[in-house]
Amino acid sequence: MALLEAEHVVMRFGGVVALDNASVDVDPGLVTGLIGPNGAGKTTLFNVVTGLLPPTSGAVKFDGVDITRATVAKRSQMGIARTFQKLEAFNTLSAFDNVRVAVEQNHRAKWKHRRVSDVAHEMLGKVGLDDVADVTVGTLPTGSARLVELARALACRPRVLLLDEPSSGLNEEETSSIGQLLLELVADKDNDLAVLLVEHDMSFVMGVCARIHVLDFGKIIAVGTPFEVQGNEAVRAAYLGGDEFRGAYAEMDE
Amino acid sequence: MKHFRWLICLLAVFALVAAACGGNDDDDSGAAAPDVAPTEAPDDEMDDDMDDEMDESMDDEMDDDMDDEMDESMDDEMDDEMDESMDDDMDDDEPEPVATEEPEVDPCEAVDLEATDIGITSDTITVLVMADVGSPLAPGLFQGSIDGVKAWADHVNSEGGLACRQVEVIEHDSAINPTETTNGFLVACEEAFALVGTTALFALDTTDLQSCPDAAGNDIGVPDFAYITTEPPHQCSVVTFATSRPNSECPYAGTGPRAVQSQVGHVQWLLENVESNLNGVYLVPSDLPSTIASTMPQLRSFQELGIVIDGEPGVSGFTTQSEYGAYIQVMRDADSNFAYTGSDDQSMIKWRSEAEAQGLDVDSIIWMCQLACYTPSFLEAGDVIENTYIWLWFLPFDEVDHNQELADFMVAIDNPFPPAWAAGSWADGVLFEQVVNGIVAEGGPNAVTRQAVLDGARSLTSFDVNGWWSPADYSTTENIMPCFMLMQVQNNDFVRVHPTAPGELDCDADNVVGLTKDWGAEFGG
Amino acid sequence: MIFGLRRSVVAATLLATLGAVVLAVLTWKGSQVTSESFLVTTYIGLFLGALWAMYATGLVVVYTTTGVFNFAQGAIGVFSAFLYWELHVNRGWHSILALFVVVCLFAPALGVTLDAVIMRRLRTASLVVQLMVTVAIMVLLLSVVGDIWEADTPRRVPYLFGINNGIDLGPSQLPWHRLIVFAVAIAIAVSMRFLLRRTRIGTAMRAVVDNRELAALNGARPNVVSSTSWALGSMMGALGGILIAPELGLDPATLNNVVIIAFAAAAFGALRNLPMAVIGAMLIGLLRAHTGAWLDFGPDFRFAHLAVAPLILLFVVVALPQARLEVGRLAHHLRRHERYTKWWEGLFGCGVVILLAVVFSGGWLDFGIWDPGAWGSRELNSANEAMALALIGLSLVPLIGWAGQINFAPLAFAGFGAFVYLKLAGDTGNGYWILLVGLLCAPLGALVALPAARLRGLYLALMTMAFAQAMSLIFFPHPWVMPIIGTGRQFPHIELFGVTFDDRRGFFLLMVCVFAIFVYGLVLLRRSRYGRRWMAINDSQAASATLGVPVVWTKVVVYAVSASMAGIAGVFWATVSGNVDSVQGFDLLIGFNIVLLVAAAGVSIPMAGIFLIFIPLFKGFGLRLEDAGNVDFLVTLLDIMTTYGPGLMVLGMVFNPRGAIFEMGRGFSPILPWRSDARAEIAAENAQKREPEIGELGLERPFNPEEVIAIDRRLGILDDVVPKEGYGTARS
Repeated sequence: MALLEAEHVVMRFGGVVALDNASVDVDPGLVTGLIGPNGAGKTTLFNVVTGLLPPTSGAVKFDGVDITRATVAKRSQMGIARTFQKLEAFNTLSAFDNVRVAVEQNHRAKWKHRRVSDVAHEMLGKVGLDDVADVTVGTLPTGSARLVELARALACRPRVLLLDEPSSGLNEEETSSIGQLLLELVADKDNDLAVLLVEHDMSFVMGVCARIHVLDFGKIIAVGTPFEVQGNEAVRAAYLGGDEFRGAYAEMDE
Repeated sequence: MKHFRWLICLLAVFALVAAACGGNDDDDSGAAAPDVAPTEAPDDEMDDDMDDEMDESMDDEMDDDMDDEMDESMDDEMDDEMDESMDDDMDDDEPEPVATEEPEVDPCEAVDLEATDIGITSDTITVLVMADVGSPLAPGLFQGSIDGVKAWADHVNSEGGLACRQVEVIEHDSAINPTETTNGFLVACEEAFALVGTTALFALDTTDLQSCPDAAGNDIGVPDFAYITTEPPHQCSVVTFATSRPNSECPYAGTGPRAVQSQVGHVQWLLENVESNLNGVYLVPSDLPSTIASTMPQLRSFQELGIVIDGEPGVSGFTTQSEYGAYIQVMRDADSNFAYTGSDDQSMIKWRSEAEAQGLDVDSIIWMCQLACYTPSFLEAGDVIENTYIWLWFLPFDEVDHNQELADFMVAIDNPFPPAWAAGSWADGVLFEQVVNGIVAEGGPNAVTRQAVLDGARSLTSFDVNGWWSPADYSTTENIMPCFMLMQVQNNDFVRVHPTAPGELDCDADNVVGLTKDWGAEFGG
Repeated sequence: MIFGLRRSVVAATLLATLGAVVLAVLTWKGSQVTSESFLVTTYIGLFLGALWAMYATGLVVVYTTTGVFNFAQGAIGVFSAFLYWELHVNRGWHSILALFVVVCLFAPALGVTLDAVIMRRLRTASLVVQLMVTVAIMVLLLSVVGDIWEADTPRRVPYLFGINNGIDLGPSQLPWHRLIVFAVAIAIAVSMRFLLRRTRIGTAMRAVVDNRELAALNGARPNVVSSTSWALGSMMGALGGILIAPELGLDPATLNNVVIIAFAAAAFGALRNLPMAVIGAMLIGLLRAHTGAWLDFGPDFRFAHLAVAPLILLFVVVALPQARLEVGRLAHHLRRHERYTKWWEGLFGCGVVILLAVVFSGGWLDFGIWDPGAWGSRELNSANEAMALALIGLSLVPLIGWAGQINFAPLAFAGFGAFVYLKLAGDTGNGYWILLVGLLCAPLGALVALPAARLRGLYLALMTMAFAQAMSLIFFPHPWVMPIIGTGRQFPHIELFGVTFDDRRGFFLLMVCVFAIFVYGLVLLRRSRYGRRWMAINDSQAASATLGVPVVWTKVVVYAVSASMAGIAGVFWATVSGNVDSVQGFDLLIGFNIVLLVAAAGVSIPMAGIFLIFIPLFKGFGLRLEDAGNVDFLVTLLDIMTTYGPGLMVLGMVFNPRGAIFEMGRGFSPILPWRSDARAEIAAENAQKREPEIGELGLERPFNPEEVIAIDRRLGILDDVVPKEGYGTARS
């Protein structure tokens, strides 16, 4: 059984259907990708899973438990953490305090015999932000703020980590180190971590994801390994003639 | 962004300074400063000096023989001399101490004038007028009181002064605010001889007023010649003498039954001469507990006389004209022929406008209001207020030919239709003047101390502002002024209807009804 | 979600109806209900509703199209009504001409000016800034009115269309004026609805508030749109003011307070739904007219029938569905390092506070030509009052400064604290009860915040306002709450550690110590996880929630803490004067001023709270100077600044949302010898070049391709098709 399942989720805003019977499942120990053209409903799905939006119909299950009606905070305490596509870092707090809030607020994050500040420093270290720990996040470059969000989410010691375009605003080097970090995290059996990744950087997605869901106009049009997905005609059709996709594939082959 | 930082810093400093100086007393400071500044600078030192001097000399001064002589001659001779020499000075608002310039013949020179108490020097008596002039949102509320006292002081000074001294006026804005009111008492205590013309609605705590030490260090309080006293602590203050009498029992605990007298002569007269069966609606001003407590006795007294009250709704400034429609409906249902407002002129205007709008037969109803409707703005409402009755406890402003005091007031105030506050505060001045003159007549100009003024006022059993007002007994708070006169708005003018002869007040003993009730609980809303 | 809405609406409606029925049965006046009296009462109610609907329409139009809730709507009406009086009555212009000049020329000009100078800059500002700026405009407008048209002349605005003839309704009649006002109000609401829903400009107006940049790319001109809305809103305010003035009389405060009822009406339409807002206004009008006519609340609750509007607001707040947590509201900040106030800095600051107070009040500081001397009892009396207000102001620091929540009811909480103290300590003056007062006020704060905490911040602001009004109409005037006494003090002098603080100077120093304790407590609180958590929900509620922060509960706790502090401050506040006037003492406007001042200061760092000490210090100092004489120019300056200062200071927030004290702190902290970090920061900042704001571009000239990409990125519509090289180089 999957750790996190979104089952037949429908989300309507007035007349617009953002999610149409979308089902996604995420397993521990690997990075699952969620891709699709702009406006496909990826972020909406994240919002439904984390509880920011109550779905029109459908269910969200975590570890077999129906959490469709649980509050955002409750889900977080159960082990669902996320980052945001549009930055939601605490701009008036320092990077260090951003992480500290997470460690303090999240029951899961209260690591045995460890001081809050040690954990916070470790998390910042993981994403390579040691040297800007006391800088107010609102004044950091977008890429760094994104990493703060990632560190913050990691500090919750999540069981499922939802990442919304983590590479945007990062340079190639940073992007690849994030990918490396994700792979390390899911590989560590102690973490028992599942990652759901929304990305537009195809080489990044293809590089780290074991499984990929493709979303188009609110519908899941394909599920499979990167290789399977790339071969899917519907997916190609969804992405402007598929050129971008091929390009990414070609690049990955190198 | 950065360019604005210093601007903002500057603004912040301004705002802090501004906030520091309070949201409320600004008008006071602005207006008072020019008058206060010259006299106050040396005050601290002076007070000290004065204290020393006083302790040594006061006892002796009291029995000084020369005083009597001076009194007799003062009034006649001094008037002539001073009128000529001082008129120029008087026209400016700021009388200068003129003692040094006085010719040798001044009878006051016969006495070595001394600083007998706080606020009194050898050539000046300082009085403080405190009034709710307003918050920034409503400047000018009781400005009339301040104008009244200043006019009185100018008048007194032009007539030769008080106790051989010139009257100087300090203004204080109590700003509709308890703290500023207390501040007024504190300033008066330190800098003035007495409070004259007090028109402050929120004199909630009169401890500082009543316990203020005099020059000898006795906590006897500052004499407070007030116009209105709304709160029980002010009404029952032992140093307060209000020309608008509280009519109420003192001391009073603030709640529970209280004996109150009410003037009902005007409706008595209506019952006897216009309509023997009155039934109608009485509007109670319900903004404050004190306004309710001060109107309910009159309402219940009306009922004692046999007037049937069909409704006694509370009104406030927030009541829209259309909401008066509800009271008009009550009048229609009960077929009322009487409508009385205990509130202000605006309430009467709204009430009558709405009655007309609702098509009520307004001519068959007796509309009645008190002093609050005796304003120019009431007349401005035009035809709609025609036939409204208004009763006063003093002669109306146009009867200057029938009373010298009124004539003096109208000249000094220089306003064809002054606000009632001005008249009330002028009356306070006259009251103060009469008490002081009494002391001077007995003990000479150096006998004037706060204690003597308090004693004099407390023993004053009849004072009628030299015939302008109804007489009143200042030795008790419980008695009401027994006299009234009744006017009616006719052809958009106030026309005397009773007593018919100008210059007269109706002083029938039946005019007063006394009741004892818990007035706060009487009001139904 | 639809389900949730229905359930809460049904529950709240049932509850409200039940409450209304019980109340009606208990307080029935017993007067006869005839069809005629019922008709008249109904017509009065509908007419009142029409007047409020006019204000409410303006509020809704501006809110829907610009996202700003305009607290100054009533003040615009007041100003226009006075201007109309000036032109029509005082200068004798024809009423139609005067009306045209005020409503069609002056009001739109005012609206457009406000928009161009101020409102346009507020769109990315925080709620605190947005609200406070409109409140500041309200205060400024009212001050201007007070200055131009002094209150000593009574004024009346005549009815526009005459009042004495109209349609005959049996024994009574419906005057033309009212009929026309009613028709105009409905017509305005209908045409606004049409404008917003059915026309191109209306669509543009609504689109702009949702996504300014997108709308701009689609050809809408955001500045034109927002100017149009402000002009329209201001016109409706002006018309409303002119039409209400004959009904109420021309008094600025009275006329302005009418708008609070319109707030409730607008809230009834969830601030965006015009028809519902109009229905809400009618409902309030009807309820008010009928309660006034049929119910008798007795002398103890004599203002209860005026409390309809706050109660409606409460009903709305309970019935509204939970708000979504907003995402994507980015604020821009200058680069700086976050730094906690160190414990010894806190102690140092508190020491400075006490020292300053002693030096100022003792007159030990010689200011050269103005030797102020020691404070006398008058200075101390005023300073004590200001000191108590400063304490109340401190209670807003965690709330406004940190959690970014608004509370218009600090005085209501303070008054409640005073009440609790009165009941606990009675006439003993035992100061130890004050601690318990703090504990007992906390639940009240929580209770007020609870229903609104799940909604957007604006509702919490409105809710606290309704609460303050309800308290001053229902609770405080009750004779049992603060019994009036004939002589002496309601609130005895506080006795602590065996000392009775019956001397003004002693009491002043006691309050200074309490102030220092409060400040130090805030320093500690800010360093704690609670302080961080509050700052976090201010920055992003959504992110806080996804980290496990219970957002609603956190807000409730902040309110509880604030109410607790305000309650304690309230004890001192009541003890200063000894007697509190239960009706005027808790006036909303005083509360407004405190909130304005705290918000304008921008107290996001706890030590900034120290600035509040200068209020009492300058108050006493100013009075002393005044007495010292020969400082007329200063007194005049203070005069002007008293009236306009706080408002102007808040307007400064338009340009610098973090507040004056914050900026002052940034300006001055490099001077402190141990703050090398601050010096470094300023240097770094000067070296840094600011990125151009995308919203500012493209409106005057076409976008270039790089800018289009930048916009896409900012809007999050960066497509998967963007070439790879675009990355990495753009932002980092």
